[in-house]
Amino acid sequence: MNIEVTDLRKRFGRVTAVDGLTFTARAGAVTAFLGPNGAGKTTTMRILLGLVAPTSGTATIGGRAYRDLPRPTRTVGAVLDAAGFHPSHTARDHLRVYAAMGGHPDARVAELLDRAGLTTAADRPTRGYSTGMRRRLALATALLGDPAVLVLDEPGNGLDPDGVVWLRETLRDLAARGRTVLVSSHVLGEVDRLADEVAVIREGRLAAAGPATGDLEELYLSTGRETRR
Amino acid sequence: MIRSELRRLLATRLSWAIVLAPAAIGLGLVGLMALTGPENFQPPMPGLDTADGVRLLLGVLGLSAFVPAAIGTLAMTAEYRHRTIDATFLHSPRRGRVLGAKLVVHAGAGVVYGLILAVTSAVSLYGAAAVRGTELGLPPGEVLGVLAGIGAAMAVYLVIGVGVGAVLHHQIAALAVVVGYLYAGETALLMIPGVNGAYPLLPGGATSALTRFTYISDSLSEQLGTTAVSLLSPLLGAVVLLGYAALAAGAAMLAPMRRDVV
Repeated sequence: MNIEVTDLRKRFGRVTAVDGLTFTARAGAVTAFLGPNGAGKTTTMRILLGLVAPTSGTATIGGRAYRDLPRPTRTVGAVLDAAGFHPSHTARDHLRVYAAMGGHPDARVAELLDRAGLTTAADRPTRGYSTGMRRRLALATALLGDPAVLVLDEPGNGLDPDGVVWLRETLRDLAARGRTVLVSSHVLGEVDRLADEVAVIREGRLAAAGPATGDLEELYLSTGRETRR
Repeated sequence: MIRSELRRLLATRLSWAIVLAPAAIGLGLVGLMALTGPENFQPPMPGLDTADGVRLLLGVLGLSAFVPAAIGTLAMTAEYRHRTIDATFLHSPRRGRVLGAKLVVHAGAGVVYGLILAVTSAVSLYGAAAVRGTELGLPPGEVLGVLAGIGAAMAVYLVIGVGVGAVLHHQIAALAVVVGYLYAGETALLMIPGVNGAYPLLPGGATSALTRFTYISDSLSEQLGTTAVSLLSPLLGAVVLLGYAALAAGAAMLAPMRRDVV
């Protein structure tokens, strides 16, 4: 199931956040969505997930807009940078709320707590969680519906080295099992050993796209030089 | 969807507030006032052996409407404050359905709140009357009717709180509006000549109509030398309150429809 972004534009008042962006993230691959802060990565992902309405253009998953998917979280799992948790809720409470909302069986809650390494902390309020634990819980929430597509906005932010390794292995494993993984980042080192494909966005436009072979840093920096010209 | 919202509410400390706040008001505030006796207030008021005295004591409960309204506002705005709204709208892109489920669950929570308030107030009232050896001036059927009205009004206020929270998003701003208006704003409006004529149609005026609690409006009219405000009948008061609940529910369901969640 591919992610297709076609001639996507979004204006917030006078600011153009996304400006005619087109790219594809294919199934069975991890696509790194790279770009500096403020390039339009988060806005693009939020449009893809139906949280923000585009000014024009389309962003589809398997040919359908997010809000037209019959059971969206069975198709797409998402981790957004700003997403949070109610501080009084435990990880188990949080997952139980969204399991019920997404129509997923409660048995998935224990499975995912285990997979995220949160079983021992599952009944503690999230207010005491470290950044790494919060990231793991966010990914566990995204995986509740065992989705075919994963959309992750800066999932490595604030992760310790163990967390980075855990994230990389989890995402590689999902891609190996045929899932579509789109992961945004502004840190090249984070995606260097993770991505199969890259799409580089600068000032809301696609600056480069293709297989993640060769020197990722050189590719990324060359798009910056071209944009400045 | 409703199961999900119920789980969300029951897992927070707000669910304790829904039980403890009305119990504290019913047992504490009503109990204290009934034991003291309105005839011993400053200034003295009709005693509990008169119908006016009982209505006055129960009518004071209407002034606590800001509590369930604040609970509703806190429950709704927590989604925005703690940024769980992203996950919520991802799991249910049909935003109206989410808000509908929230309204149903919180209306239910409001009924629980109102029921606890009514039962604890009745216990306090009859308990205090027994302790003081006073026979209440209002027959049990009427006391029950007034308490049922107040209980239902509290459920309406909780729904109004959810509606204001869904429209304003910002927790502190929404709380300031809801608590400020219900606690002080409406009484301030009563002091403005011309505007006070609309009081019977405002939420506080409609709530007072349920209990025929006219103490505040009468004393303000007396102090300001304005014409006394005449309240609606209890039935019309109930209709007006239900109208506010419908308005709040409609606003809650429409507000997030097209708004970007950034």
